[in-house]
Amino acid sequence: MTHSMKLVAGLLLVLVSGLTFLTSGGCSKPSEAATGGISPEKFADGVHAVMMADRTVYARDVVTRLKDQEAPVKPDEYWEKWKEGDTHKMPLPAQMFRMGASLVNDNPDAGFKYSLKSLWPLNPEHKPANEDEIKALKFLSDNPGKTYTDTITDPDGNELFVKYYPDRAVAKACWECHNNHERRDMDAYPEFKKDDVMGAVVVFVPTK
Amino acid sequence: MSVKHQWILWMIVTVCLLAYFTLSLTRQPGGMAQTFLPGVTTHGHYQIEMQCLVCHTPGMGVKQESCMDCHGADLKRSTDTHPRSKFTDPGKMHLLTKLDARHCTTCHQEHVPDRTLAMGLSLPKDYCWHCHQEVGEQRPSHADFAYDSCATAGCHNYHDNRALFENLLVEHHGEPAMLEKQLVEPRNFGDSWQARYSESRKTLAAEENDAPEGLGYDEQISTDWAATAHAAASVNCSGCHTSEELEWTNHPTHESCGACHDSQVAGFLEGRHGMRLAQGLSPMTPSAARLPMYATNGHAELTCSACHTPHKYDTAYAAVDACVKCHADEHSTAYLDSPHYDLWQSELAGEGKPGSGVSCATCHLPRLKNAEKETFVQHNQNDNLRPNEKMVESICHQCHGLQFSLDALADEVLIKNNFQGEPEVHVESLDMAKHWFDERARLREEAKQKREGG
Repeated sequence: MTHSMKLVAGLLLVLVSGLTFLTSGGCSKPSEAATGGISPEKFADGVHAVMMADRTVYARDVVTRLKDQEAPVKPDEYWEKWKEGDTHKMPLPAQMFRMGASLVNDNPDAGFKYSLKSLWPLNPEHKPANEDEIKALKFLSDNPGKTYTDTITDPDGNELFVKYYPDRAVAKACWECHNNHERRDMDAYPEFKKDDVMGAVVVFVPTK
Repeated sequence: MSVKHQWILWMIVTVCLLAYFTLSLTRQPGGMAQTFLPGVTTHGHYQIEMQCLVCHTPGMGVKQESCMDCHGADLKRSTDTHPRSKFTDPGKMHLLTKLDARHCTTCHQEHVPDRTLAMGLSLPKDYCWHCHQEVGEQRPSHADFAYDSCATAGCHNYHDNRALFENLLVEHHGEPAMLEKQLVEPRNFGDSWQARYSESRKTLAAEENDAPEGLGYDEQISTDWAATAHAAASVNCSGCHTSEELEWTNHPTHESCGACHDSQVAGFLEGRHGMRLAQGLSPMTPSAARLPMYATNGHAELTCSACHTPHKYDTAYAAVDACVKCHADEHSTAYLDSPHYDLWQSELAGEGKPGSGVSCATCHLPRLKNAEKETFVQHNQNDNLRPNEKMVESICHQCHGLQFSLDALADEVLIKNNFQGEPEVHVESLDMAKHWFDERARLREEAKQKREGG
């Protein structure tokens, strides 16, 4: 290689390195490489914003609206199981959310997973599974408007960035249904009202 | 024998054995593959056990997708209570340490007859307890139940709970044993077919058949055909007897039938009658069945024509006579003495209303509705069995109260004698659900009054 060729190669190397640095925002952690240069937290914030927008629209502009109109289509926990008579049922907002989560969680190309958790779940499957989750959910409840982050290792040995977002009562259908549900706890259960934190949306992003 | 000859003999035997076992593994379907069966195959799979590669990888691993290829649609229809997605939910990842139900083989292993329970379950019966041991706190009525008693008739199933959800139980609490209507859905496939093609179709007469000249068939065939729904819907001989290449065939296959009756053929191929055909094997025969069958029909081949006699397509024959000529088990033979059979006879005689008779097909090949609200006959006779509560929603509950239906299906004696008598078993789930709902309503009202008062 001639001297001039070495010089050109050196300049190219500097240029490529500089571009890489600039486009990655100056960060070079392996976790960011896995998410295309976006930090796991930023990525989680983005997908959470989409989730909550869809969920809010469904709860507020579909379910609550149809209920207020006394429409023949009704939200029902067993919407898929009723086969007789009035079968005009639709999923509850939480079910709609979980159905979307199922599709994403089963999609290996999605690159992330998400879930619902609550200290006061109507479905016991969504209660916190360990002390760390209890701590996170209590933090959200005690600090309205705040989020909570953590890192965990799943049973397959994958390292995950975890972010807990407050899940609020955005529409009348939310608190009316939860407050009057037959499975609600009679003693240790809040009377929810608008904007109360009812639980958490938890986003899991693999970091390695 | 000299040492040299012994060596030659050893080499010949070794080569032959190697060739035999290699062929056994590589030939699909191969009769010799049976050599490698590690144990008796379950009742659900033994018919296709020689098609190893349907379930296994060439290295004899198990393909997860093979389970879903055959059972996925059924699980979806049944709104599976424990789908794989429940265990890919990261919020429930702690459950994986108790039961990694992302893989079917965690619970359903094959070729292990010594530890295989009903429905191919190869786990100990206490598997529910590991995740649901706190159920007594949520449902005090369950606190004293045995830890392995969850999946009993009328209570819970792992996958299919479509007839057992608590709101349904409460909704139908207190129903009488016999409901007022007592009629099954009428079939309407012919009507919808006619409506779909009414402009171009007309009823054909016997002499309008388009069988090739010189075929030499019995005249009775065209007479029989002219009396069928096929002729009424303008489906001529060539409609069934012409292959995709437009060549005449004397023996149409299920693929010919499926060109029009796709839902029925799809069900047939999923069930015990057609699952061998679905895998490219020879048709199932009664002699190969594990259930008791009459030897006289042992070698009858289970194609569509086995039950739907060609050219007559008598659905009444297919609904009872075709079944009882092969099935020789206690339940089947007792049917002919049952009140259900009496109702069937009355309907055939014109004394009972259409839809009031109860044939074998009424329960085991039920009439369901497709997405277009057309009624079709589900030809997978296993679709609403195992667990048999699956039958409640689609069949029993059309005539009988929910309590009576669950009690009857939990009574083994009554099942054997084909429901001649009253159930001796009482399933408690309806009473428990009603009590729980009433109690919760009372507590909610109390709490409400307390809030308003203070």
